[in-house]
Amino acid sequence: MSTFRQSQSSLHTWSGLIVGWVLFTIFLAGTVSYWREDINRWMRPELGAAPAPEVAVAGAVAYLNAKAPDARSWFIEVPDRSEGARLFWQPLPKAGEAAKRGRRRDTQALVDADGRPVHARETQGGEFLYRFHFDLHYMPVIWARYLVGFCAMMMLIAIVSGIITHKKIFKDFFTFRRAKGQRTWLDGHNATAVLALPFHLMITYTGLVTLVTLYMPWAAVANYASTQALYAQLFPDAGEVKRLDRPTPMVPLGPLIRDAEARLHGKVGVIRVEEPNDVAARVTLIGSPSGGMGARRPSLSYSAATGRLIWQ
Amino acid sequence: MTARATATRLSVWVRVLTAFPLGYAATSLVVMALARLLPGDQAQVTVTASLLSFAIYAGLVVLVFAARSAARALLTTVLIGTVAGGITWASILMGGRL
Repeated sequence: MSTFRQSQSSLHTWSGLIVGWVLFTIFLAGTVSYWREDINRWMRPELGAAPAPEVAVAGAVAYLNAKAPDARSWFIEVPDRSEGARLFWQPLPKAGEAAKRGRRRDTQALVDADGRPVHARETQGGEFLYRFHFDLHYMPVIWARYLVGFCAMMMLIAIVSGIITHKKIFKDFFTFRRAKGQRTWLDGHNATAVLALPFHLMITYTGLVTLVTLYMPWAAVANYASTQALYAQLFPDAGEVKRLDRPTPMVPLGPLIRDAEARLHGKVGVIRVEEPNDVAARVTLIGSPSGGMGARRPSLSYSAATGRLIWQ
Repeated sequence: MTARATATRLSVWVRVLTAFPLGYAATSLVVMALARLLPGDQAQVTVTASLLSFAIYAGLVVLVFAARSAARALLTTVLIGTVAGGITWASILMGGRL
């Protein structure tokens, strides 16, 4: 079987060499993204301390009620360590006008506990590095994602072929011959690669799986006429809200947050309000990312007119 | 360039083209066949087949570079793709999609 082992050697070399430098920038941006929130704070020192979540949400609702009371939907990011509540809203399309995506800047804000917009210097802070991890910034997003996926696949191939090539994987781990030129570099390469091997495999595979619907949509294509049907099965939700055009004031969100946090056994991260200030208005409270591993957070939906839990 | 060096280059290029564009197509068809054939809940089966896809692709690339000759690698990949594609096609014809 030595030829099988040898055949993988050049595959290992070239698959690593060709994409190594792109991978390095991806790793760097990804690693730094662990401190995304901290970098956000650090890059905007003019902002004060984070308000308490319930106070911040009350401020956010006050701002939205003044600015966009009849929007199609509101999104409120509950501040955890961030400087205020980040808001987005989707305006109601005017009659006869197709829903168009306006400039995002016009429909988002950062507000403090009193519902006043907070002004800080223009910087994306840590968000830039987080996006750079898979969008690469200097090229169109979709091409960047395909390129990142190609590089990640090459890394998976490099790891697998590297394991095959490596004959005495256990013994070599404890071998280090110093001052022997290339031999020494190879020993160092073996030691660091094998030490973090499970981690390397894990970040590569989970990276690919994160964008699996982009890279490998074919299983869904084989079983479903539309991918929406698959998502509806995998991630059921309370369904669409139908506006009834009967203005109704909304209940305060504070008690809903407390109720949801008790039911979710964790913090609420995002609040979505659909058809606010209508009798049909629905509040969906989504768990915070710091509360668990899954990419899809658990969520609960309440009627905004009565405060009753309608879906979990 | 000697004839032997030319032959080696040709072999490498055939393997690269077999492994990457063609290998991706073959993997996609295998994943589709798996999604059709694996038993269980349809949504879960779809997810399982998708999750396996990258391991299947990596395995196929390893095989392409380990094959005794480039022609053999090419033929094997085409065969795998054809069989998987045939299964998928027949299965969708018989069972339809959601």
